[in-house]
Amino acid sequence: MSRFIDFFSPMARLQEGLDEFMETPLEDFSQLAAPINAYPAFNAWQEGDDVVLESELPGLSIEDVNVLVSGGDVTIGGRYKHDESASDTCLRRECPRSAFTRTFNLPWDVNAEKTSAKLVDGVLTIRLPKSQRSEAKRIAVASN
Amino acid sequence: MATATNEKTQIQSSQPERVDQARSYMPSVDIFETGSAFIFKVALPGVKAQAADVQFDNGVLRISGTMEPRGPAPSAYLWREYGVGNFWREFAIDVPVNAAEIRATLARGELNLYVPKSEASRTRRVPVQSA
Repeated sequence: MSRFIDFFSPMARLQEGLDEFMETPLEDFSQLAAPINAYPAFNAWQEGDDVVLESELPGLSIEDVNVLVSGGDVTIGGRYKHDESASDTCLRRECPRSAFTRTFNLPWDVNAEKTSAKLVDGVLTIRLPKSQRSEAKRIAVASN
Repeated sequence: MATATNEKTQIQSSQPERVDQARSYMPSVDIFETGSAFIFKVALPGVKAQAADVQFDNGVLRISGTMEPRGPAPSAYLWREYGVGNFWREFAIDVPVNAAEIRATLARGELNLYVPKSEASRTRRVPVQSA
């Protein structure tokens, strides 16, 4: 019986190590640049108090794109359709042809009711107002 | 067949003119070949139909699109993963094509180009008869 324990204990240690690694919070890495294969690419800027997210999604129609807002998480998903015939010979393929999803974690909550998104000429623009809760409030300081 | 369309090697004289010093971007392109035509799908996000230009000259297909400026000033971005600017790309097609019948439509930021082969270069099925 002890033979088996000796044989498996390195595996158990490895498993423990992996568990520990998986449980380590990864928040620190979110400050790094976007992953190399992140699709679609996004630009972001501020307009007044709103943040605007913009992405180029050529060939997609509004029914192919989903925008989900939850707290400070903004998720953009979509799917490209294959409309070429199977008998066609493909000579060059550079445009994406699959489903995609990408999530942004904003450091404040988004007002989901007032969020608007439009898709014009293959350019998706999402306007994200801050939620009331995350706006700064002036607190009156009382003396005595 | 796969060599029917080659990207033209970039020669100094074939670069877009640098009149306004604006940066040109290379659009992504899918190319399909059928027995009778080539089909190009060119990603031109943000380009209006009247700002897209397709030329076929001496076997070279040139695709360009002019962008209306959009977004904030370059320094105002919080996060920037792609550039916005004009598009330009050209392809040499070494199969005779029927230039008069080239059709182009632009919808949802995607340019669809139909480039029919000339009569002589179309694929034909030859019926085989038993002797």
